[in-house]
Amino acid sequence: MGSAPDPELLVRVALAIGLTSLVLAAGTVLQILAMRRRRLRRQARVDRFLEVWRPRVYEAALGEPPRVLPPLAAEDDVTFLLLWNQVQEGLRGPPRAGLNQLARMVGARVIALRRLDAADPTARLLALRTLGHFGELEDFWRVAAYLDDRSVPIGLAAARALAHIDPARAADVIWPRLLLRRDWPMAQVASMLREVHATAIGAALVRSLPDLAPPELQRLLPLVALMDDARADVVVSTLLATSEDPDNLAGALRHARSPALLDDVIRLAAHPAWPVRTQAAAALGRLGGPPERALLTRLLGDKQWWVRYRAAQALLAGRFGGREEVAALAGGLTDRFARDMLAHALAEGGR
Amino acid sequence: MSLHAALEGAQWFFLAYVVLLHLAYFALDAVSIHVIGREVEATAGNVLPVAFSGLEPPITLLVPAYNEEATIAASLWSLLQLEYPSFEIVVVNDGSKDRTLQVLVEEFGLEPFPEAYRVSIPTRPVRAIYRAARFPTLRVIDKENGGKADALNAAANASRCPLVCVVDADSVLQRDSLQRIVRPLLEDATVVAAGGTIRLANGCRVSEGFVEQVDLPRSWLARIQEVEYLRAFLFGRMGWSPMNALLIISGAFGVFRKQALVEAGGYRTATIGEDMELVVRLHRLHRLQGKPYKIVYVPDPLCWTEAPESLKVLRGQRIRWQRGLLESLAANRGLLFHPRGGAPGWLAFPVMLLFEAVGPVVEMAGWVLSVVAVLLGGISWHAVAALLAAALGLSVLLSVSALLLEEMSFHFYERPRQSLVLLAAIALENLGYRQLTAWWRLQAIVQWASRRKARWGTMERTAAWQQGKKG
Repeated sequence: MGSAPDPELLVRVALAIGLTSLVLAAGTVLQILAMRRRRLRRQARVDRFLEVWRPRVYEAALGEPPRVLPPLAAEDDVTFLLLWNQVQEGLRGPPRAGLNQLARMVGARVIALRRLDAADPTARLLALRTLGHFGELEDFWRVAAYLDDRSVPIGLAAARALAHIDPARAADVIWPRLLLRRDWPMAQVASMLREVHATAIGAALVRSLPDLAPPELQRLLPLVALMDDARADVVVSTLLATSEDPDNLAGALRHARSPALLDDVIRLAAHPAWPVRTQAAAALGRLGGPPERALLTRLLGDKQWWVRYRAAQALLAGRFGGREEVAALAGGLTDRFARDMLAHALAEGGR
Repeated sequence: MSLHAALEGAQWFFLAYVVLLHLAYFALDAVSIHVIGREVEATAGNVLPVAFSGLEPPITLLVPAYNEEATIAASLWSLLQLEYPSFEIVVVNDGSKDRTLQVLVEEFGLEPFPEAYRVSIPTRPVRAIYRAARFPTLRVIDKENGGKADALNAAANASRCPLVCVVDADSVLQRDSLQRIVRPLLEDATVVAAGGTIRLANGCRVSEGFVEQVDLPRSWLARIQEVEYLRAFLFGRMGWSPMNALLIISGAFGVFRKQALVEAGGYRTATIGEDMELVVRLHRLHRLQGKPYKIVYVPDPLCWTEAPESLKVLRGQRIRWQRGLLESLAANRGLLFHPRGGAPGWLAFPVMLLFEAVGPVVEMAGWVLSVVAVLLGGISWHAVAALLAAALGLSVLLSVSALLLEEMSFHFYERPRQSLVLLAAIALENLGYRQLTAWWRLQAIVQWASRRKARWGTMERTAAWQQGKKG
């Protein structure tokens, strides 16, 4: 492109780019076809396996005596773990004994231990779940090693398996991870803990309460929903009495269940942060009585929509008179926002 | 410099531009291949039944509707069946001129509801609010026409949940799309928005509001768009996401933290590309204020939508998209090369500006200049043919690499006939379609530059797939 341009050079470069690209494209198409062929072959094998094994696993789930089982090829072991776990986790109640017997007959625990270090994350996850269902104490520390896996599903599967194997000991190893693993979604943690009873974790939370920084506390507070009333009350009352963080106060109020907390709730209904007032209004609906009706009526006129909304819902919760009484209250209100909100809540049917 | 030298210099520039453009997308392609591996890991648990804990944050589905009488009921029936523990639906009838509101009233038994409507984001006046007698979580806002952005703002005002999910009234989600798209927001408190994958419903069989069988569209126009969608989502979005530089979340399916949406001022009504503008603005505001945030793309939650099957409708769509892109970049130009702009300001924004916003100008100028140069004897016909071969080869390679990503991820099209059709669509795209859409986009640039008022136009939808017929 200097002072003496060579027109042929442009043609040669452009053609070279075009032809190279087309050759690479053809190579990519061949790669796609090869991948697809492998995948379809794998899928056909899975289909054949399921045709033979699905009836046997369902029979086992129904408690029928196991038939003579065909040999389980190494290539099919992950498919077996998948099928077995899908049936196992789709069940509620006792028929799992038959499934466990079937799994023992095919050596599923040995397969799971072998697959714990598989490259395929699905195989690792299924292995952890399987070991959890087996519940063998000797597998505890082998499974615990996966709590720190960088993958969220693998880490949570390990926690869940541990809780199945030994709930009490699991709490000791899971609790520190709950503090460290900010990437573990609390909804999934709660789902895992709910399955395995959260008593031990609840006790750990109560013990650690004074040492937790506000952001940590805020993240873990939803777990209070899983605790028994006595422990939940300890957590909530401690926070209401000591915390100055509005997010934690609002979080604690959300879980306030004991009438003994009413004085704190009334005090926080005047908190400058509106999320705290909102949760205080909702808590008054659960814990208050006729004496708190005037306070809720005042909150109906709050400048924040959410405070008014929760106050209106609280008034309709049944502790402050019937619907007719609340409707009559609406008629007597001079504040248009308060009146509109009460009409809104009345139309919703109260909660 | 002689005219011949100038013309040849222009050809070199054109070639270099085409190569650079494709190199940028090949880089995104490489990132996407890496990301797909990570996604497989992140979604390993999807093979087993999901146990909800009840602690999942509730979500409001925001469904703007304008003249959607043909599809709105079917869409809502499918939305009501989504698998997620707690969600509400707020439909906004944005001053429709057809029977959209009546269809909703009749189908869902709507009753006037005395909502204490809260205006966090100003909108056109709301005429009435309704609630479904049988489905208390379904509300309908009837308001004066103000456009899609205004409708979404009205729906966000009525939302009572911390997360909002935007869904087009004519789109179909997978049953588990909601739980999948929300995953990054549950795992990371700094994620303010997430977008899913949009695929074409033309040609698919839809039953009971869900896609039952996936197939390619029957018309070549839609098949070529299928290839475009594969490229746009499988590496256009997936490639930018790990760098936190995703500038687009489709208006057909995306989830936002409501607080971030409201704090940003909601959707901008003065733009025709409100979905992209909001995302670029979220980047700009968070970056410039130094607030930690992430905007992510999640490949596996799927949303199916209908592609235009006529040139007239396609032209309108492409002009809208190009104008939306230009308006989004212009409105947030403060992000470009800002010291705190990070990957969005230093990488994604310049790439969008250079290759997407200005691309049609360079492309059309290149072809016009080539013809002129040949006519003036400046370069030979075979030089133009060689340039065409380079552009075509690179484009084919890029599209085929999107097919590779499709094989690695969803592998919806595995029959040999489907593969052949897609390869033919890739070739056909370069023989007329690409030039035509570049021409339309150039028209959009001229319209935008001349400040001509943008119009939404009419998206004529057959909605045949919604009835369970082949599109």
